[in-house]
Amino acid sequence: MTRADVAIGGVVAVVFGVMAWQATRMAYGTEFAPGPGFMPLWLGVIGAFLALALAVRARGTTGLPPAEPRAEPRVALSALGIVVVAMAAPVTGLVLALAAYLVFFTLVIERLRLRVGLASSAGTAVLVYLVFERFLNVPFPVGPLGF
Amino acid sequence: MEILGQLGLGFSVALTPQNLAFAFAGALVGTMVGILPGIGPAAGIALLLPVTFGLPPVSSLIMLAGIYYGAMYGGTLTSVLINTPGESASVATTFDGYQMALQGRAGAALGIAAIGSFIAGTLGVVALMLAAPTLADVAVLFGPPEYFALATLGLLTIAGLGGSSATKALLAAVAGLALATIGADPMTGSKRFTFNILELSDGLEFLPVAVGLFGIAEVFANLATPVRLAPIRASLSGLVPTWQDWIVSRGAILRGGLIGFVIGVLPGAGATIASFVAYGVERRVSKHPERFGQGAIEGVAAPESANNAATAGAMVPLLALGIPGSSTTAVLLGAFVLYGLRPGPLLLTEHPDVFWGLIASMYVGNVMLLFLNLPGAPLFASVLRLPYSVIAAGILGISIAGAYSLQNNLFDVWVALAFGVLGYLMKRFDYPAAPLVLALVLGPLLEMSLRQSLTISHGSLAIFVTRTGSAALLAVGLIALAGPALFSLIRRSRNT
Repeated sequence: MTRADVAIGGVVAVVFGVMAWQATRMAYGTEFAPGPGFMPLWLGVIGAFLALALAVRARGTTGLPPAEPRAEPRVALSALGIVVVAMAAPVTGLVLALAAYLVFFTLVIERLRLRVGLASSAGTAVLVYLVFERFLNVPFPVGPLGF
Repeated sequence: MEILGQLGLGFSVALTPQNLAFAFAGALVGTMVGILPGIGPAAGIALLLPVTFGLPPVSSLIMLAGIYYGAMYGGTLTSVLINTPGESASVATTFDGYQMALQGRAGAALGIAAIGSFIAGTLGVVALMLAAPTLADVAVLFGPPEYFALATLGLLTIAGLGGSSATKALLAAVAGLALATIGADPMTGSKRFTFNILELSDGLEFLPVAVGLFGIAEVFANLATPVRLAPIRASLSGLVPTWQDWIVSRGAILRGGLIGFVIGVLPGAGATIASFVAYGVERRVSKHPERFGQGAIEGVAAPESANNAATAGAMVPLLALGIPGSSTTAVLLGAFVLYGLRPGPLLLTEHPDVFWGLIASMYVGNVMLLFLNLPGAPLFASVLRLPYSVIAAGILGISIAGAYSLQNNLFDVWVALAFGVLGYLMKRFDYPAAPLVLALVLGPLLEMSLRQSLTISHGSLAIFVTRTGSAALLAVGLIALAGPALFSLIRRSRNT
């Protein structure tokens, strides 16, 4: 356990608390037949209890799990890139958005050599296009270039 | 005799040219998945699942199962050559496999691993063939309390045995159950936690969740703690074990196979624990335990045999009861459901072609893997020269396209991304993902059986302890949860 578990336990306890509170708005059921609110309520209570227990047990611990320097910004940028893909795909087409993201990922995040990065990005995008759109007939959002 | 007849039906399904090709593809992809650290069989199956849409269900399942057991063969290569297990189930193989490679015996280590895997894997399939129908016959008698107890047993076992902290594992399991409540209530149809989002009306789709947790999260986690592949220059000659190697290893293979199958059947235990137990047992029964860790060939044979037999064992509760015992079998269950099939006692009677076709394909797949892995080892070793970043780009591309293709909807890409980030954070802060996935899959069954049980008993929880089956299963679950903590307490009190 690390000191992060105190914060994680606290946040997760709040989430489960909200879940339990929301569940009280659903029918709990009759005396003999549990309703739709039965399971969420108990899960909320148990989850909040476990999260608090975790936070309490982690009190007094120090440090964080080791990671590469600048790991978090790189993960955040990679995730943000997928957000951009999902938002841009209806306009540019999924394959093009994906190809652009992979170029960004391989060259900026992973810092591959230009040729390797471009080749792997283009290769993956072409593979995705051939397998999903051509072979499986998945109707990807189409952009101005026709794919 | 009846089993032989059914097996004949299975082989008539598995030996069609199309299914042979899919078994081979599964074995090949599984081997690659096993070789590449940072991508496990659960990820491999989740990523390949969208590609199999449109194929006959039995062909798809044959391929996906091939990935599962193929990964156990592939994981050996990295354990031996770079001291980095491709799979958690191959960690124990590094202890002696890498030492053998340093001594110039990498070929012998890989050879005995492939042969041991083949023998134990095949024996495991024989045991699966005998055990699954018997268990399915018993399971026909199960009512809601027994199914609730079974699902609970699965979750408690995986929480107790699955990670460094039982509290974290339990929390992950409760989170998975909570996520399973999203969507329409299974009994009344009323909406729960949908936040007026239409796409959540039927609940969270399993595939984008699995793709996020096992595909995208793995790539993100690798950015934080990169996989460094640096194969040693080892000779891969002498892949066929010598007579002396065989004499030393044969007992280890049989014991490993037996241990692997039994542990594989237990929900939540799986191939990783099986391989460690087999290694430990082998060291204990050896006349020369001091050789272990120094390059003992039986230290490679035992865990490799165990992890292959465990995959067959893990298929027993999945096929006979519809209860997965690990994240990989949970993804496989998700695949069954996507194809409109429900594993469990009725699978045998309603879809015997799928049940027996899958079992027969495992015999065939094990033979294929033996011939793939013995002469193919040098070729597979060359895969390790590929930069992980290139593989990561492939994983991300297939993850995004695969998530989209489920319902041709970008919402599933958002779900995959959300679970990718969640999966990354869970890895970063040491929360196991397996209980969450298992709970997400078992959640609907657990809730339905709990509510049906309480309706039958007029609200009394006593129904779970007054029925022998459910009481026994819950007791085993509690022992599995509390057992590790109790053992360490007892050990500590003995030491003081």
